[in-house]
Amino acid sequence: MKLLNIFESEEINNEKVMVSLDSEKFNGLIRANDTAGYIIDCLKNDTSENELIINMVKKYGITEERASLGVSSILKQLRELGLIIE
Amino acid sequence: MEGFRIIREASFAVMSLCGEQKYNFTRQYRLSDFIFRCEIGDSSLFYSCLTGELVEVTKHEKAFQYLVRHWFYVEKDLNEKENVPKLRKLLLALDKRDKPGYNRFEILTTTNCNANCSYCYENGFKQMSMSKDTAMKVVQYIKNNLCGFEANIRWYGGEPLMNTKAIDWISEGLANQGIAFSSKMISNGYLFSDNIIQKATKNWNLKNVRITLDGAEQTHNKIKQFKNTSQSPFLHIMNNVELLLSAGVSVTIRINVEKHNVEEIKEVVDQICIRFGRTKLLDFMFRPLSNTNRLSTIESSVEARRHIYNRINEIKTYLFEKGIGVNSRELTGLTPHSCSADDRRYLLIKPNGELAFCPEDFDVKQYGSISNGEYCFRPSSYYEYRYDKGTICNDCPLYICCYPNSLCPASKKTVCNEIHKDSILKDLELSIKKEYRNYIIVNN
Repeated sequence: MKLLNIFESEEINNEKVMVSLDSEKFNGLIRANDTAGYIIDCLKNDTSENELIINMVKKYGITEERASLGVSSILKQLRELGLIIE
Repeated sequence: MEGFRIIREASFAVMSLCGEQKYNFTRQYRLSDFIFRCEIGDSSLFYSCLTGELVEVTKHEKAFQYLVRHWFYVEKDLNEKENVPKLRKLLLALDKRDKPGYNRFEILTTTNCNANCSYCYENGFKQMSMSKDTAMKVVQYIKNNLCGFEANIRWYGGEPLMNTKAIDWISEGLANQGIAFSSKMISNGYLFSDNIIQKATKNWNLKNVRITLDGAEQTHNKIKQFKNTSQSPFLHIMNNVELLLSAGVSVTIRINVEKHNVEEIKEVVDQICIRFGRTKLLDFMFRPLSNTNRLSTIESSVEARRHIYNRINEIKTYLFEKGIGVNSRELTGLTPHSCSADDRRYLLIKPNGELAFCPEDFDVKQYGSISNGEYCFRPSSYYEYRYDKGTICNDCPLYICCYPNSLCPASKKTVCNEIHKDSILKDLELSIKKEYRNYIIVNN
């Protein structure tokens, strides 16, 4: 899976701010905190939920269970917005 | 909201990008670099050059958390300047999402002029006037590329009234096509007459005319060097201002100021104010011809420039206190463009139908033609800005809004200096006080 390639993004005050350039696919902007921003960054390349969890564990030194909760919550939100290509 | 009130709301786009800053009582805060603060009676006005928000604070401690949330105060160690290019890039991205189109059209009906001002930046430009065929294509082009509900047209030249037929053709064409429009004009004011003003209000939807004066009667007549005139052009123009105001068309008197006329500006202003009284339809703007931000061939010494700027500021304050309209800075906060040249909604149409983006260099640059009927994209280089801010900018609250276009010959020519900076900050203060006064008039 992969994030739709329609965003211009910048780090502003420790948040990732993403502006959609295609208002037909998504009309809005996303502000993500550090961890959500990291997941979104990983989703710029084709990846899987498992890979995302492993990356989170490595980067933040958290348990797999906690990483899994975080990843699935972010993926759920992105899917609801139609921003993930499976 | 005890202790403060919002005089002007923050920009929705900027607040969406920044979000609200979380207040944390354990953190230390400082006033943001982009805040201009001025005192009014017992209260303070805080203006954010980032968000465009204006707040009146009467009890600082009660307002503090709100001021933090809305970026008036920031965490002590935050590097705000680092965010400026990023925010601009995202604002541009937001702007680019909308369908390409224009809502501001600057239409040059002719490059001919009945005056002969030595300082004019159009001196030496190719002479041409718009034909009926081109005017009809302009109508079609506007129809194809209009975004929004109304086309805002500004007639310009040369002297636009040297080719009123082009204005007639375009206005009639737009009306026939059912396209809503209103118009403004930049003119020397000499060629207006009863008939033209009647036509202008009825057919051209003319709402405002900016008329340039170069000083008091004698100085103005000498500098303008109108061709084929009998009576004093200055007096003739004043009569035309009266006709325009009587017809409900607002007039902006733009006064060019230089060392040769600086001492007579107050006299001109008083003369106009006495003749026309205090009316919402009349306002003033002042421009030093050696202003550092314009293409200018006039050079003056630092002392002379300082004196000119000081006098202009004195006169602006004088007019403001008398309740007479004076053109000052817009309180917009951070915007995706810095001038007409990089505003994707603005287009300049030359008399021959060629397209350009800057009214000051249209003779040397054009980027397309109305003939192909399509939206004309600006080259990406139009969005490259000079961020070579010198030490003078370090404590300037307008740092965030001041990003000269790297292609602009005027901004390349000079950099900001103390005189210019003082002047624009005084202008900002005047705009803030004007906004506050208007708020009080409406709300109290």
